Amino acid sequence: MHEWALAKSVIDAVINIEKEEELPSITEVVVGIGELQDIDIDIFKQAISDIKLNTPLNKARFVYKTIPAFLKCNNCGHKWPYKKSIEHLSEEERENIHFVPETAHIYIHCPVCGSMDFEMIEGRGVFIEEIKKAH
Amino acid sequence: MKRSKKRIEPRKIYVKTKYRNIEKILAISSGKGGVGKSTISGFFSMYLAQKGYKVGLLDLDLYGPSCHLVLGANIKEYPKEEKGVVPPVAQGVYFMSSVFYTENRPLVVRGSGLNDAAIELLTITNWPDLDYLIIDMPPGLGDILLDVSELLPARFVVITNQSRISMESVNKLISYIKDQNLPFLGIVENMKMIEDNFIEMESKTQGIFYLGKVDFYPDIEKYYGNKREFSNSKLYEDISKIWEKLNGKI
Repeated sequence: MHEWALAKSVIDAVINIEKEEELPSITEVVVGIGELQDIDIDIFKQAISDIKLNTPLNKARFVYKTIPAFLKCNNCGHKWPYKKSIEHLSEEERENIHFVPETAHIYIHCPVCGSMDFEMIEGRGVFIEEIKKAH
Repeated sequence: MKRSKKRIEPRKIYVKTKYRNIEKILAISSGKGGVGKSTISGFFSMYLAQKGYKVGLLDLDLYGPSCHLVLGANIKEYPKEEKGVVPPVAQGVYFMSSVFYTENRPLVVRGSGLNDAAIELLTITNWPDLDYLIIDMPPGLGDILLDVSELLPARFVVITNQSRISMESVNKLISYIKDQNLPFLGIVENMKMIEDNFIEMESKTQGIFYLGKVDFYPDIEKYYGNKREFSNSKLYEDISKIWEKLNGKI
């Protein structure tokens, strides 16, 4: 249920970056959800719906886009989809990555050279992708 | 219709607003490793909890977290979740650390990963209404120091030991704190083994507030996770004297 904290971060960020008088004109917020963190999308959606109620964003529509995760080895340059690595992870290891995605560095190695030195080039965490306003 | 398509990372903005309500955040820092930041952070948190304050301790030394040892915290169980992660309580202190999610294994990441992990912990942890949040900072000058000074209303307490080698590195941190006009409460001399006044004099020269000293206790480990033994110790008295000076500054 730490999806609630991430959902709150999205709502708070929109409220903080937009001018107060423009907040009611926001019609749509597109939220990118990185595959790596394995967020429970139903809980996240419910959290957004509940949190936005008492804010100027209560009429805004939230649209969710899953972003596939890719990793890139800093040693040999190999790029691979996170999906390929997840098959080898235990339930507990996935749970750790769910809470703190950087713990992936403990469990995942580059499939080509075996290095633990890789970057999460796409699909880590939650992002605000787009904000649409009525005028 | 107007569209703004720039990708925005919400966590940093959120952390800034979330933590501005915690009035007293103390960042226990040093330019040098091995001077006892974690022991001071841990015992100082235990001390404040025993004084009746509501205290949180956040271990941001992600390469070498060790506050759990000082508090005797059970790291085998995940913290509970309730609209975020609820920090478990150890020795009366609300405690959060990366060790809950690393199985106490090494986290070998580059700087950007370190930032991301620290910001994630700051984002997902639901602290109760605290009187004090103590942050055990990593040694040196780098990514986490920049995040804490940019995102949190933290006041800095700098730890050194009495060696000139330690003070050489600590001076660089102090220089950064002064340059950035960050709130600086003073310096603590830890693990004092011989009588000299080098750190005290150095503090005077630099116009830094000397908060006091903690002696070297070879049997300090017997106080780990044991608030009863700790409260009857000379270490407790040392911490208490530092608190008196610090409280006056806060």
